[in-house]
Amino acid sequence: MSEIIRRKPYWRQTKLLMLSSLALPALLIVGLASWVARAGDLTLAGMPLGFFLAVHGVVLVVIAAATRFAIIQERIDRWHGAHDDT
Amino acid sequence: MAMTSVSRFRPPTSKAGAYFAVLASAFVALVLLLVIFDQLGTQADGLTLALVAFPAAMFALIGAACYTVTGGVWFACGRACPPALGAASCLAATLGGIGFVALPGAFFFLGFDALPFTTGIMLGLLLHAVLIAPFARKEGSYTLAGFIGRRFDSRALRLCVGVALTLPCLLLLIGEFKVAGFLVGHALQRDPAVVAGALAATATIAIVLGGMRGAVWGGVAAAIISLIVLAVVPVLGGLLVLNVPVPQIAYGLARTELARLELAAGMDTHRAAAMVLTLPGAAPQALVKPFFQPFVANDPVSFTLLTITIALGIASMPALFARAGTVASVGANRRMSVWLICMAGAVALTLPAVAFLTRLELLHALPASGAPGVPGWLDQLGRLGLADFDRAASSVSLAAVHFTRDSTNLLLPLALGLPRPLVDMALAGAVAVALAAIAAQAMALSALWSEDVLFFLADPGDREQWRLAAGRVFAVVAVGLGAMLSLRTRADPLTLFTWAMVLAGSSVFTLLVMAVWWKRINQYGALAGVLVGSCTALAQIVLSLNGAVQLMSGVSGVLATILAVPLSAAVAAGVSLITPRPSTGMIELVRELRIAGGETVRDREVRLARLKPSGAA
Repeated sequence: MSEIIRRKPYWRQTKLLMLSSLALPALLIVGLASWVARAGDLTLAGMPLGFFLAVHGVVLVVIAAATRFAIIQERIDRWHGAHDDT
Repeated sequence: MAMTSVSRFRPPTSKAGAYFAVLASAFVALVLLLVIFDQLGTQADGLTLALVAFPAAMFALIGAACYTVTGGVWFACGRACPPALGAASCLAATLGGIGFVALPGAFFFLGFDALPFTTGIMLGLLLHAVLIAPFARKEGSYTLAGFIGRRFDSRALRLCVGVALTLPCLLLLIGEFKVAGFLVGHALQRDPAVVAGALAATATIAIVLGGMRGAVWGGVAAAIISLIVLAVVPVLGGLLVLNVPVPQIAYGLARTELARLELAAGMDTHRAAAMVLTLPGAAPQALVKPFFQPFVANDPVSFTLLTITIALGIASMPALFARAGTVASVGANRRMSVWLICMAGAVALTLPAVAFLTRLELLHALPASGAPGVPGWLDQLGRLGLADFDRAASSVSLAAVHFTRDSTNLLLPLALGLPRPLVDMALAGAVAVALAAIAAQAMALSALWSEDVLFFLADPGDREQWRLAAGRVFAVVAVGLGAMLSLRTRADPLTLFTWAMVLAGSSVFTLLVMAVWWKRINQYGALAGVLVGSCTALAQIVLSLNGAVQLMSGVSGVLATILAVPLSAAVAAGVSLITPRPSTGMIELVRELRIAGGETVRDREVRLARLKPSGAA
């Protein structure tokens, strides 16, 4: 039973991290079409803002989310002693 | 407070980086040598053949060098693949020839409206990295169906998932053969059957001998070659067209000029009607849509739904799932995922840039007023069957030329007048990634058919040689079937890719997520979810193809995931709640899967099974 109790904080933190890592990219992609329409004629780096957001914005947000997930999950694993001996 | 953990770490190959650096140098040296021969007047076809044969020869040699008689190596690369190199191999397997050849064409013709593909791939890789890969690695099964079967302790469910995932893997395999066969067959003026046969023979040598290790290391070589191609052509294009070597961030500088040329060419700026979804086909077509204009070919809702469809499909790909078990640990798996997403991001930034430069250069070369005479490169494309125009016309404008989508990679270097070997690099890249994807899908099918279908009927126990023999036989069958069907079917590779994403995402995505997040789901709910998801998607695709009654009015069959996934989740949850609760063992397995550290579940079962006859505890 003590093993099960110790697992709960670990899984709770892991779940929150997973959800937070997916929230912004999912929001960006689901709302992309409406934000492109609202961006209108605004430009950034010479490109229409909506296009820049859809190409460069998505790539940067997804890379940042994945990197953040890997780093923080590693810390969570080490805190709870669940890491691998690599 | 620390939880117990037993490490089964195997150190990764230490010299792999050096070997692949030598391979990269060899490829660059070969290209430079061929450029010299080209300038000396050597026959062009011989140079093209040498460049196309290089990646194929490397793939076969690497696969043969990886020969193994160990099941863990044949199915899972011995769980010893370094994360960065594993990511490169995953990139080649995921992107494949369809991504390398058809996606640039999609951007060339659709511009903004082709973004669902790259956006969907990026989101799909993130979903896979966060929600699926760590638990796949912890569980340790060689196949996705094996993971599901072990999680729910149900051989019938394992068989059902194995059968359901056969079709998407087969569609991708056929698409890879078709796209490489089209491009290489036309460029070398060879029968597509000969090209398909050569690809099939190369892939068969690599994976029958080397299995997953051959596929992974061969995939790394393929990724290196294709990334060199994707780096060199944009850099040269950026320097010659924009005077900037990094066009990925600078092509906006020429936006105004491109818009002016497109307006002069009379390109359509009307927005698409509701729920319109246009995928560029393989047949020759004219450029009609402005590059930066959004929602001309696809309306905003279809744009978003297609992105989600591709994302869920990528996250559920059996070939990608199998790669999770090739690295040493769950932590290494996360690092591999980050590397993969970074590399995919670089490709996602490069494809629109190359398409932009190609458009700009072609609009300069073929203005609306008409170019006097036919440029030499356009005449060459016409003779190869890769462009269609009126040869009798005294002047040619871009609007009068129909380009093929899958030859777009050749257009920019041709239009810039680069030496022939630099044009043919695109062919080498296409062959390389197509082989990587063919090997990946064939391995996925081989493992599905042997581990999840055949051994459902007759469990071989711990007889590893039987597993290996069955895997090798089914690998040959898979490659042969893919090559044969690619020659007998007329489907467009990009459409096949999208259907595969629909079927994979609809069948198993909800199951993969619910299997870890919700302990209450049982084998009955899982089975119902798989059946409902896959049947709904298949029915929507088939019925929309025939123009018959559609399950969702106005929605293309390609977007069937949007109906199938929520339906699958609802049915899985509902059936689970009205049927008996899962066993204590199943719940304990879920709790163990959620913990990253420790021995792989499957490896522990195998180890304990081997200890039993000696009486060990």
